[in-house]
Amino acid sequence: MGRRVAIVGTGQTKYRTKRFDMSAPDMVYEATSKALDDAGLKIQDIDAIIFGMAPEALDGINSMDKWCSCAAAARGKPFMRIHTGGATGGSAAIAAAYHVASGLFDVVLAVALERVGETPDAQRILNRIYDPILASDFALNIINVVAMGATRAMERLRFTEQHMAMISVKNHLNALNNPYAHLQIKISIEDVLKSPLVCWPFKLLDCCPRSDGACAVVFACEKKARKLAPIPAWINGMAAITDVITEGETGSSTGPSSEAAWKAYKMAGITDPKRQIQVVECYAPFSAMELMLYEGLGFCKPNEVAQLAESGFGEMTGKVPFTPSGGVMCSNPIGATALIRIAEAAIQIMQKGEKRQIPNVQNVLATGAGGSPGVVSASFNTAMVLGLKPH
Amino acid sequence: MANRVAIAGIAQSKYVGNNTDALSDMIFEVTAKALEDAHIDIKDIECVTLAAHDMLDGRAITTMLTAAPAGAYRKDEIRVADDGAFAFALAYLRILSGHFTNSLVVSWSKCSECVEDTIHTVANLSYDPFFYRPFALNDVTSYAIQAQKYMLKYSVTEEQAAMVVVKNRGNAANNGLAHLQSKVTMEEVIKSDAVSYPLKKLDLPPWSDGACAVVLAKDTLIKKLNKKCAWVKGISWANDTYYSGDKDLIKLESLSIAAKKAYKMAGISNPSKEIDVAEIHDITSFHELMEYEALGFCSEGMGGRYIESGATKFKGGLPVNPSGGCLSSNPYTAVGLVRVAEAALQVMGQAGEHQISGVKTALAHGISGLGAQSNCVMILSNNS
Repeated sequence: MGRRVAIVGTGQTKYRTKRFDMSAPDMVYEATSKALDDAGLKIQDIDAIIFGMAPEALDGINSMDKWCSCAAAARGKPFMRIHTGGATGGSAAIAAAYHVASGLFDVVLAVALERVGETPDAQRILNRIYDPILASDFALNIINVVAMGATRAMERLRFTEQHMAMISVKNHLNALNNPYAHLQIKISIEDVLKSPLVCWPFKLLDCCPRSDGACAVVFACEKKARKLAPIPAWINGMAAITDVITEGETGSSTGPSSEAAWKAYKMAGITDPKRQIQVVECYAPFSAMELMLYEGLGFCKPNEVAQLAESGFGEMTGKVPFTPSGGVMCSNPIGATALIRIAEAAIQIMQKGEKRQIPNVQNVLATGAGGSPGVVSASFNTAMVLGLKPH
Repeated sequence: MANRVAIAGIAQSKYVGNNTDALSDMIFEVTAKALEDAHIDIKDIECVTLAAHDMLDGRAITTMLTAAPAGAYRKDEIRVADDGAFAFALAYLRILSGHFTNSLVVSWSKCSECVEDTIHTVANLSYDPFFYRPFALNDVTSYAIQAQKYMLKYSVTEEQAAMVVVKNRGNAANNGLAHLQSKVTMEEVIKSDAVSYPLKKLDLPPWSDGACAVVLAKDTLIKKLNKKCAWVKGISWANDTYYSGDKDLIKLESLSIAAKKAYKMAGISNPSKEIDVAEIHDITSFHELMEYEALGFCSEGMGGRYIESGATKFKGGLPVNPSGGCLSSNPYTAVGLVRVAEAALQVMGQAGEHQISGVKTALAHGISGLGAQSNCVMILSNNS
């Protein structure tokens, strides 16, 4: 397997509903500059750039990567844009890792951006991901399709709205420790259960916000990584699986998102995730999705999901903390979201988490999901295992 | 290192103005053909690399429904939202990384889903909302500004540009897959309707429906396949600044950077002598001339004279676009991958009626972004 690759720096903007104070290139510039500073690098040290951005219809600018390219240090340099919907950031990070592993580039920057705040109605745009003849007319969107999957999962995995609320409370609490998080509010289980119904079983506080934001991550070859970072975050496993979802054709319990994770586990030498992984930064924009992932990512059996939630398994002080950053439920700039998972995973390994730092982290899993969500799968699924030591 | 990866299978659809098949059917057809051509079963494909453009396909995330017909169902797939040449570059890196021994690369465009004015609107939407968009800049006007400046600076004439059209459309007459297969005369080009000075209708490509698929494989796998292939000897890509005012509009700096790096990787010191055929992304007739210069086929400012010399004709010293190029078939996002496919066919001696004799080394070039902002250059060879 090619060269070893590690993450040596990360940079994020503050996530908000709408960044009136900044244009798209401004946000890319801020994230890029922070990542370069974090890695102790200058623009000329970057050999190639990968840009991540999801549907341009959300941002109202076609191929916005071109506008933002120079803000991402890409003048005169190799530059390409990756787009796999919500998994974009995960795919961009994986593409950056291939750039380095190929031996052609030593230091590569992945930067991802979304300005969901530019669109008055994101769900109407996301309706257009479905088949224009067979599915679009049914007013499908991300929220109601996830709701269908969640309803089915509640039956199969035996969890309730109460359990979903526990996840929501936990993630919002974690977000209070993350200066970049969009939603920074303390909420109770009762608040979640009494918040306005969006699409059953989801209430408002079970759902992610729509965010503007950018994230940048620097990848380096082993030689450079050891020089640049006191503690590099080694990419020990990574995988992507594409499924194609026509609603009605899904329903497997071990869908492609767990398939991607298990492929990444295998590369990283992880056979028992519950024992070997200390933190998970999962892509779960809705509370129920995190519960589904407890099983899908191999942390419990189907009948143990509810019990795991009740035991506080995924809390900051739990056995395996899930999204110490507050996760997608508290910040969701779509095309950047999966890269944020990887940045936050790297932050945990590099011990730069400050208030959200988990002690004694050896291995962290970061996932991404894009396109139409199924039961535990999505159209596009990514997984990356970062380690304190190279595998 | 560069010798380790080769193109083992190629397929293209017939390029037409309006392909009445469903988008997914059009993609499935070329994907299946490319696998057959490479003697590889879909189950043995280890990863898929795609290039497609949402807004031209009229979908919010086009690959949600098109990744499966492109062979990516339950596969490790990444989609590049750039020209197909960039997907080819990423697929190449994925194999070099040691994670995969092969990759299927597919790109497509169904421009007929948009009416022509919509395409220009989409292009206008590529400009930032504050400074450039209000100027009604789009694909055609941005190219016209470059062409005008090129004419002014180097005394390049409309006739010299028309020679590119006559050459490429003449070549397309020998390519059964080309969209426009009728030859045109100098007079027809010069007298064709003005679109945006100095560009006339025939200086610009048509809008085509079509798809292209290429199978890339590592040397160890190539040996087992036991078939002719085109080895990737050099590859590089680069991006230029976005704002027109910040760059030399006619130097195509990012193309020149990419070309120099690709030549270095392939050990080419004199491109016009060492390259036997080139398939380049002629987004307009004038751009083909500017590209001659940036690619080092001729010196700066000599693009017009170079076409006059006949060097790039079918029987010239360095034939350019023997397939007819983009001026004859323009499946927008797939154009760069089509250039790779055509260059590979030349190297493999399988280009049929438009085969150039004795091709050992071929160049392919793809563009992404308006004003030729990003460029990718690949050198292919029949020698491992």
